[in-house]
Amino acid sequence: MLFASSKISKLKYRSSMIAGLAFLFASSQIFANSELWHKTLKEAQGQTVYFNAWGGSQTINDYIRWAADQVEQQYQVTVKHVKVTETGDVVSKILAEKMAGRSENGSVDLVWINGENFKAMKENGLLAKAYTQQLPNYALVDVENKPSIAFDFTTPVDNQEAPWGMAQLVFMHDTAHLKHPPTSVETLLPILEKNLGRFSYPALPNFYGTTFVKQALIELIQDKALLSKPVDPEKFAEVTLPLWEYLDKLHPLMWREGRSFPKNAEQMKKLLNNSELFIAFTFNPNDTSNAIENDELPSSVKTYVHAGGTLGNTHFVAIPYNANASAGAKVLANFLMSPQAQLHKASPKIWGDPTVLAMGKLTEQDRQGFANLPLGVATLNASELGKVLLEPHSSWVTALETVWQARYAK
Amino acid sequence: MQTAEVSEKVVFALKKVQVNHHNSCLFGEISFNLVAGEILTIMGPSGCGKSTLLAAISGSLSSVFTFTGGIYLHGRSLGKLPMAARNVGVQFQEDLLFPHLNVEGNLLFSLARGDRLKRKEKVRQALRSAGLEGFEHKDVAALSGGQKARVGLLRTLLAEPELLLLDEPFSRLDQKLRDDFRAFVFKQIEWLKIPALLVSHDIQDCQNQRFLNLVTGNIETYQI
Amino acid sequence: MVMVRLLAFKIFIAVVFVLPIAFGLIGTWLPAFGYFPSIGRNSFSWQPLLSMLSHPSTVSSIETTVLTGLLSTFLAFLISQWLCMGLYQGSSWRWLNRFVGPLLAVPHLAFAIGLSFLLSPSGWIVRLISPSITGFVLPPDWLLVNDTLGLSLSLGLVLKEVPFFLLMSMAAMAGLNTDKTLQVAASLGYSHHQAWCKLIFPQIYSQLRLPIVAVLSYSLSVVDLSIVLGPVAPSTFSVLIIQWFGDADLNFRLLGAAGTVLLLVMLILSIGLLFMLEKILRSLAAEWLVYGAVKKKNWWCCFTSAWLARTSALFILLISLLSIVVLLINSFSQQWRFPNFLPSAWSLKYWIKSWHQLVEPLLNTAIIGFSSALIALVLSVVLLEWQSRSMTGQKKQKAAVSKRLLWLIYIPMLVPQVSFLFGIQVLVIGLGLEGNFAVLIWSHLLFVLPYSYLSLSQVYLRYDNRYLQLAEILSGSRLKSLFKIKLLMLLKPLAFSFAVGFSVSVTQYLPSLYVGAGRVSTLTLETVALATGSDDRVTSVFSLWQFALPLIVYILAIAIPRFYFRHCKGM
Repeated sequence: MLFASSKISKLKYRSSMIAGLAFLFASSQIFANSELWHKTLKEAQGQTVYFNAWGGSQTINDYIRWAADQVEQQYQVTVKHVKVTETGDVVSKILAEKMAGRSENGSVDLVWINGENFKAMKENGLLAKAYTQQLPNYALVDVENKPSIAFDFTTPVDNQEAPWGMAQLVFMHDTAHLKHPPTSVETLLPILEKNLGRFSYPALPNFYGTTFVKQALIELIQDKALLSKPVDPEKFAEVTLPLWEYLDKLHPLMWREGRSFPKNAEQMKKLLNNSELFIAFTFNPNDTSNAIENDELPSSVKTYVHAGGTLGNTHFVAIPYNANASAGAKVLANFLMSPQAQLHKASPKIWGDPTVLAMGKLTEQDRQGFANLPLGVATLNASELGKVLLEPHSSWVTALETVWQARYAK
Repeated sequence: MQTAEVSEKVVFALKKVQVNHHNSCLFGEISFNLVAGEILTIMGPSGCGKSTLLAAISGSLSSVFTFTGGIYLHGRSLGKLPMAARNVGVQFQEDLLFPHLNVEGNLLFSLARGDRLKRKEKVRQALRSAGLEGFEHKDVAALSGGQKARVGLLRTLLAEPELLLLDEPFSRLDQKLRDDFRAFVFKQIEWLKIPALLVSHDIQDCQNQRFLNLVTGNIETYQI
Repeated sequence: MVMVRLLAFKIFIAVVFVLPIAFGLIGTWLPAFGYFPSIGRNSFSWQPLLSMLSHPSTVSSIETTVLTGLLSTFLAFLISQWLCMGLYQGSSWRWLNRFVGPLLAVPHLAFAIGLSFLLSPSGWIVRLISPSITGFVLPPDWLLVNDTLGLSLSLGLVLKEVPFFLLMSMAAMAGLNTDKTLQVAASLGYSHHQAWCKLIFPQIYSQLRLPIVAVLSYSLSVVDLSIVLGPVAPSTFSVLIIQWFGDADLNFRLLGAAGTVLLLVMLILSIGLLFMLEKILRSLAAEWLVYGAVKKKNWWCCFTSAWLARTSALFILLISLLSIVVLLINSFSQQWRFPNFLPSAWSLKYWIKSWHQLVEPLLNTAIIGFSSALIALVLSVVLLEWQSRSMTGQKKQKAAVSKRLLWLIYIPMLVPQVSFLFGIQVLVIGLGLEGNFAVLIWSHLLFVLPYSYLSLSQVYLRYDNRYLQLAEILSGSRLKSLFKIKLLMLLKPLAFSFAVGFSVSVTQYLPSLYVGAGRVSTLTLETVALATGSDDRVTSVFSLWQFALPLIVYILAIAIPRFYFRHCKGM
């Protein structure tokens, strides 16, 4: 109801917005917040926000362009999408700015980020101070039931990044070649023996490669409680032994006998389309439906998850410490969390990225909007998606990568 | 067929040679015989095809020209042979010394394969005969015009050609050098006992006042 | 007066070309030796170098990198020289001349994407014979592309560098009296091939030394081609460096910086090896050069046949053409799965959709390319005119000085980009110039100028300055004569050099990334970002645009002089 229509005149819109805010936030503390927010909105007007986000997907690029148009119309903030090849490049740029002593007027206003990159930026003071609590739409976020919103790959978020979407590891299989998918990493082995070379995962340190190895570790490790704690270097070799034994068995059965790997999740998808692979995986549960819709995959591809659950996490947007248009960036971050933007994003025809909002905190109309969203042709419903596994403590990543490279990338 | 009419003494013969360009003849049919040590000067106005005739004989005729008639050297028909197999030495106006080789290298280049020391000795002798003793290791770019011309000719001669073609070899030299170099060339030819064809504008280049007038196609004698 | 001008010129070169690169190198090297205050590292140590050397992937990665770098440089050079020898004076020489430009216009990335789609087990060549001949309903599990030895990467590099070497050889030959030299050799009893090896090659080689080093440097440090065609686990060293620079764990950036130091050392060692090899070969060949003509045919005469050379040239052309055709088909396809030889569904959607996000990068790319190529051309002409005057003026010493100065211009072409661009990024940000259009043009100019100069120098220096002297006497104006006579007569090579510069600018990725700071989007930035995605069709559209722009400039570079001189047979 905040953003009933983008076509209404600016004046009318502004007054209705203020009325809406007053109506929504009754408590005095929130009212103080709304005053601060009002200031931010004013400051943001006319600013240009450079939103650094991965540009490899037309679907996502199109969505960001839509969001940019909306923000321009509703808040008079210009958004430029800087199409990034790798988030690491953005971090490099901010590091270079820090090295050159540029503590304001930085070139990045908002960056799409999560996990290790967030941790690195947070720990090295490359992020702006906590800000998400100021954003009106943050109140709608499902912090209570989605643990990865408060802890990004086990790093406390501390309001330094605004949740944008939810992700869960899902596998795709081409039913034309493989009727019955595996239900665990263990059952993948006998299936590959019959379908030699039709599975692979990206080489580490690729994010997706690391994800697969972590998933395998969770399924194979004896004492799962260890994973939520930092790595104990003394015991690392011992507790991860089942994982390496498994990978040693898996690799000879894989695509190119494990001597080469797909470069990333996107290439896995292309290989699946050409039947070089029968199984691939992604972090967006709606990805398969989207790809079928776009003719990037045949309609015979379906989605599945492992019986014991799969890894899940959240992706965020963060403001660097030296952002030039931080008010504008806040406005954009707030808009990206709005029911309007989240609903649009969750639509399988648009992007199909799961929402971070709590249904219970929404208005009836918005809740209905989400309920009415059609399920993609190859998308699993909430109960089929099963259990979401939490990411292991972030120290596991480097430890796993180092050993993996020593064993398989020598 | 080719050797029947050639007498013992004749080393080089042209029989009814014509060069065509776009179906028009550059000059009338040319026929003549040369014996060993004989030098025939070819004369005629610019553009009458003097260099083209030499190209036809040496085998470097451009593909826009066609040629008819017979060219015989020691009774062999040269007409269809590639340039490298004709054993015809060519000396151009420019010296065309190879800049990446020194004087000795340029001369060794044209010598037939064989014993290393013997080849070097041959070069030394050749240089001495040209008054260029001790020039072996000089950079060719450092030579004077006259020295370049002589090294160039030595290079052509050391390949032991059976016929020598000279395309205005003296035209770039001044009068004094020209006389010296002409005498040197004529002496070498006489000594090697090979026939030679010489393209020139200068009447003084004619041996015995004889020359081939390319316009008429006849061998004429210049009357003093 | 002359001394002052020389000094001014030296200072200009230093400020514009050498200082920034020196700063860039230092800025990149500091982290390599442990100094990186941005992440709280304030003291120097050997630790980053040691950790880099002991990283499990380093050793084998360096092995493959050196292998592919040396192999591809050597093969590309050999093939290009062999083609020159086999085809010169033949009927195919003319069309080879004509195709070199367009072949150079094919951007590395677009070419690599096309090539991998041709060669992979689910690629076009296997599709052509599947399932009819092979019986494959599913693509075979063969490691063709991204092989561990880097052979597919070498192939891609060879195919891409042969045209460059051909262009450079043609330019070098323009400075020789090739036809007459061959005639003299033939009259001395040498076959065409012997004459080529002993007379033409040794003379053009000195002009090719620099291009060889440039190609070697490129092959050792290439990133985009290597990501698409190179080995994966481990990848080539430059990709490993980029990976470290992009690692979420910021400590890996120190390893990346240390890697760039090692990469530079590798390059210097390789160049040293090259020069040593050249010296050895030169002394070995000294005797052979003047050994006398071989009259009988050799066992290797089959390699010298013009037929084989022609077929090989055709093969290179065909592969490059097919790589583009595959991209073209892909850009119009809706769905195209194995084993379909052509797409099962077609669509114009991706071209239409690309249009509204294309205008800005297309315009930026064109403006940056045009400006940097034009400035590079002007600088090249100034340098060359200065050189040609000092050569005729018999001021040998000055000519030698200028030659040494010229090496400075070549530095950006010879030093791997990754080893100084991070430092340049810091410099540019420190000066508050990031995202500045002029600075971006300058950063492209660094890489455009050497190529522009290299492709022009031989023809320009060979120009008969007597035309110019005559014109100066007649017109009484030096400048007027230069523009109206010399430069006009040289319009063809000038236009070509401009096109070479333009196409070099269009393909620049790292400078646009580091200096553009995300403020200026270019076609290459967009294409590389899209290439990380899964949609081949969109990537194809952008790759084709990236190819089309330099191609258009090449065609204009050939057409404009031809149109201008359409009534002058002598031109």
